[in-house]
Amino acid sequence: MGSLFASLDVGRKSLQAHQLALQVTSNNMSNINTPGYSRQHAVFQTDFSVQTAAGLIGSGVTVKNIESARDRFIELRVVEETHHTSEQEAMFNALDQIQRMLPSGTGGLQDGISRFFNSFSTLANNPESSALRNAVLSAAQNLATSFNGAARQLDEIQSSVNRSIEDAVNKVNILAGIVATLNQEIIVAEGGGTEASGLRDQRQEYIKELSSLVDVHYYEAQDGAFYVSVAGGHSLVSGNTSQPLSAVPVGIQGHFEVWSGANNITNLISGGEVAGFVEIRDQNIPTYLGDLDTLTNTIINQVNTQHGLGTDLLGNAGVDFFNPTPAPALPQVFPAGAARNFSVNAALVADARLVAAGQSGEAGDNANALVLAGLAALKTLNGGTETFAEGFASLQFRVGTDTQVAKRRLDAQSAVLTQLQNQRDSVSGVSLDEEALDLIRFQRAYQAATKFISTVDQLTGDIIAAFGR
Amino acid sequence: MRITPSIQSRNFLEDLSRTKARLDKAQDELSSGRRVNVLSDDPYAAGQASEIEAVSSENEEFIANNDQLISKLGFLDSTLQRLVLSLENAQTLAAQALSGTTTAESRAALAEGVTGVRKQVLSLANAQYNGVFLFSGTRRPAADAFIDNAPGFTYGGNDEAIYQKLDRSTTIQTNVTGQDLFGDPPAVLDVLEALETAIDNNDPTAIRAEVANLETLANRVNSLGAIVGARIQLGEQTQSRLRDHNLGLKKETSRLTDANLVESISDFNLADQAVKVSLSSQARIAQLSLLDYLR
Repeated sequence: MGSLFASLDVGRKSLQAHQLALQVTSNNMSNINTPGYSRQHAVFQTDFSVQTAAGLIGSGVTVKNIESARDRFIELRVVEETHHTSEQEAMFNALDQIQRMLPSGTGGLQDGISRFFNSFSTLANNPESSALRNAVLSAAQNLATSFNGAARQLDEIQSSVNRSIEDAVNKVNILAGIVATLNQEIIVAEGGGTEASGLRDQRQEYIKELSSLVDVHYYEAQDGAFYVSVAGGHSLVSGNTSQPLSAVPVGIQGHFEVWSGANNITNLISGGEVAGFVEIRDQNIPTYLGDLDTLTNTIINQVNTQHGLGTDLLGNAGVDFFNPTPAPALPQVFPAGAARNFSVNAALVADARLVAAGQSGEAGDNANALVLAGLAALKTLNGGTETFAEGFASLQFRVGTDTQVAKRRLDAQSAVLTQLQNQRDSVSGVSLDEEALDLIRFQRAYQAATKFISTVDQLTGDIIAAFGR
Repeated sequence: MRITPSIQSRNFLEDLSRTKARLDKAQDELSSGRRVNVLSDDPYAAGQASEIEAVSSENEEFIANNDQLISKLGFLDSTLQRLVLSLENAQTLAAQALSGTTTAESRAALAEGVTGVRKQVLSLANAQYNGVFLFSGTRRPAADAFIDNAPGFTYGGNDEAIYQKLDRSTTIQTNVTGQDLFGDPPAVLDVLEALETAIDNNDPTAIRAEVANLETLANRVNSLGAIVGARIQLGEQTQSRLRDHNLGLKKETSRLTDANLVESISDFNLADQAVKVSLSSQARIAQLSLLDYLR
């Protein structure tokens, strides 16, 4: 049977419940800009019922629990698309640097090739001219320096990307450790049956950060812990323990391979920055360097062979114009390093008379200079299908296309990721309008409870006053 | 779908970023005048333009070389014309010696005239262009190409032709060798020497023989002059063709890589408007909140 004092208790419960709801609302509003925060709401329920003469009646309101709004499927999709986006972003950033190293126009490699062969054409006008001979050597040195520079820049990008792989692996290990720690904290916190919402939000953000580095996959165990794997099933986090990856330098170039325990997973990683870095380092850059080396080596061979058929101003047979490509260090295969080591024979640089412009030993003979100039028009590359200029243009086309494709993929991936992030925020994000309405609702309910307590108090006072006379 | 401030701001930033990228691209095109500024803007056009650049550069080199070559051939042509004039002078002197009214004194004067012609011819035989003997073949003698030994002469050059390319496929001979012009019999210096002797000796038969030789020599020089003239003509035609070709290549490069300025200005204005509208609308939307209406 109810009493005025019991009614006071109902009012107290209402005050407490709505005060808690207001706290939840204020927490939501405070965290509106917190990355990964999932909005919470208080779940009200009627408190136990009491028997009255008229029947059962509730004894007020209580907050059953605080729930977070989250959609696990969307969160999973965000993680998946994050590693695809990060992979494309890493590739585009590196390719964008590479494409800017191979410009057309004055000072570019194409210009260097043209100027070199054109210089022989000019020399043919006056083959005994010391000035024109030095102009040929100057053009040759510029050409060699340009190729050295392009190869060195590609090497530097490759080296930089390689270091980034090591950095990314270290970061993965740190994040995996944090996720394992959070797993433990969540297990403990949720042991009492309440959801550790804040910890879960933090863990989800770290998983997202992990997925920007490698292709993580995860599932949630019954105790609330995440089990995270990379590269198609290699464990990274199991409950409260993490299995760190290691970046192991291999070969003379010190290229880092990624190992999970005793398994080399370098080529199994299919997403995240690391996958993009590995592809750039092991596929794109070696291909471009290979093209550059082949072009360089063909120029060296063609020019040296023809130069050897000529005679210099001293009447001797032409020596090597360019220094032959040295044998590369294993495991690289010839002509690796040709562009990097491209250089003009120092003997010619020291004595321009050694340029073999003729074929008869006579000073005014320009026959060999003409043939050397004509090499530019010969299709000597790619099985005799391309000239040097066409070969270089093919390299530009290849780099341009790869960059364009990476950019388009990145744009497409970014659009998908944005859409998924919007979907996630649609479920979990904080809306100020909603919170404002909740604020009013809970404020009004709190005011009503206060009024109710005041009314009961007045009634109690009336009774005391009536009996006190 | 619930719309939260984070969705609004994310969408706004993405849209603004895209619009600004369009604005940036249009601005890039307007300031550089080029549609293709990096390879990925249009890899095919960039590759094609690169190949064209190489061909155009080669053509420019041919044009510069051909200018020098035509100048050299022009000098060669004028040297041959002066040689013809010298031979005509010698023929005139020989005709006077054959007139039948000559005295010993006038024959001596005529012989001296022939000696002068021979000196002119020797000077022409040693003509230089840019410090190089015109008629020494590929050899570069330290002294003169033709040394007068009177009687006779010594040729220090050789009989080698010198070639140059007018373009990728056209090669022409750029010299006339001293052997062809002065060395092959009848050798002009020998003929003039013999004519001088014949006039001195008042030997009409010998004079007539040398007049015939002078005729042969004049024909030889004239025909070589015609060949040189034809080479100059070919050089000039090639120059004209190369310039036309380069003009065509420039047009093609322009078509491939240059910006359509009208289109770029239009894109710029559209993107500019879009940015302004986007900023303006976001500024208004961002201020809308139920909290502002609750009192």
